[in-house]
Amino acid sequence: MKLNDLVTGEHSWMRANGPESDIVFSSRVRLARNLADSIFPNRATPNEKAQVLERILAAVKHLKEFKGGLILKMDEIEELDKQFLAERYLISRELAGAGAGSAVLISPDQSMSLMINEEDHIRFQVLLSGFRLDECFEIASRIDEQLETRLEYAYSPKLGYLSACPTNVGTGIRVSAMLHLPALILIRQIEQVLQAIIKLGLAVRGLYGEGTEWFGNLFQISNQVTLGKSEEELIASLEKVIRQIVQSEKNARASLLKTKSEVLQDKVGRAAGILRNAHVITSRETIDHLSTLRMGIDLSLVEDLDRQSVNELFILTQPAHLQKISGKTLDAAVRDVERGTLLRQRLQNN
Amino acid sequence: MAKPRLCDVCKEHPATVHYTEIVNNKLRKLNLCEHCAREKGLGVTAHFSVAEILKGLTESQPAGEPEDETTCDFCGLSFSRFRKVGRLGCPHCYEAFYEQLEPILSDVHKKTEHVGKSPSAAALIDTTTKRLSELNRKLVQAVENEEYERAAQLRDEIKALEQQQKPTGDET
Repeated sequence: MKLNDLVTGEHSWMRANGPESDIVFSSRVRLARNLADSIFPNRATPNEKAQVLERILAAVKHLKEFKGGLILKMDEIEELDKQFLAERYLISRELAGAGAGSAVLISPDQSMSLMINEEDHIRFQVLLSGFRLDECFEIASRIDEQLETRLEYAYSPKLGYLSACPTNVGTGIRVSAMLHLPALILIRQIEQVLQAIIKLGLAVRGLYGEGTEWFGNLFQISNQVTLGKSEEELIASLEKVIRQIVQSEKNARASLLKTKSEVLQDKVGRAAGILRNAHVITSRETIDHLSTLRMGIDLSLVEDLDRQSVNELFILTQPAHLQKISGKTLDAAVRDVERGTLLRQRLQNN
Repeated sequence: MAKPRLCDVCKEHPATVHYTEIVNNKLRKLNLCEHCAREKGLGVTAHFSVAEILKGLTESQPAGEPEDETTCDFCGLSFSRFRKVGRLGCPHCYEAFYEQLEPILSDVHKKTEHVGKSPSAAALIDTTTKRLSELNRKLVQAVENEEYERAAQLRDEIKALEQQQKPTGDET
């Protein structure tokens, strides 16, 4: 497998086939682990980092989950490739900024990735389509149990798995789900929902946009606490909250369909019209319209498109992806044209 | 670590209150300092993120207090340096700074003791289970071969191992 195979390869996220996948785009579990008696990456010398990398690489090559996948060292790949991997959720922005001594392993189906020398020595994630937090954890746990037979983890009976940042200590787990909530935004109930999530001690952030601006109606909800609660408890409480949000979004969609169906159809129709006909379109405008189109498909207002093709476009229309597809660096203005071309091709009326 | 985010309104004080609002159908996230948050009528219900709590605890050294020069013997990180960077230097820092870290952990997680998976437990269960199934297989074989003395020995070994595997305090 080569890095460029990822460009045409199907990401498990794109399949849009798990339970509740109309609203829950994806589920993810990430575990943070460190090696006993080794300096954390932020304080390690290049030499120490290289040693840790070698030790971990020797251990992870036995993992069957990553057989036939990719091992990429951060100092051996291009900037564009790093951005491309980040757009695909295979590496974090932090790892994308790292150089020598850091690496990533990617499973052949792209549902699993393991980062070496990010903020912690090891961070691995399982990302599946739909609402499947338990399954993500099961797989992550299996990887963990294989690793611990070959690597001695930094662990204390009192504080659990020791991490570079005290916010991750204990279980070292981050459980999250990406939710698509366009109807709650349309009926202006999103604020209440988000406030409720925050009050429950969970974290919520917009998937797109930074800091003060969110767009695309996609939200990532995750646990904040990692110490003093078991993995199962953390997953169960997140699951419970997500179920409630999914139900609220469903109710909002049903009520919109009932009371404002022509407004809804108009919105969806306009989004489809723009995506199918635009020649110059920004990333942000694309994501906003893709969100509306996706809801239209969920509500059977669009007949000739499926969820998977729209999910794919969320990823393929991002800057590094457009450049990987065309095989050359493109500046922002040219990308907007390329994006329009890609959308017109992919969304042609059948 | 980067400078703390400044308040979106006054652009002077660090933003500690994070608020989401909807204006003209658009979702907007505001980062405000406590003063401006009060001005906007946002009280204590506004949320503080974990990162911000940590940042607050690690960055805002109270004026007049001497810098905490406790140092981790293993990696050489001082606690005052940790306050600035927000990252520990090695696993041993948790012992070296335990006193200082405990209130931070308690603020962030509301608890200070780990519950959940542990590496040794998983590894231990694995080996005991493996050993048990191996012994059972040998026992069946011994009985089949009418090696009763050996079978009795194996049975005792299995019993002892099963006893070990039971969690303590399980008798009741």
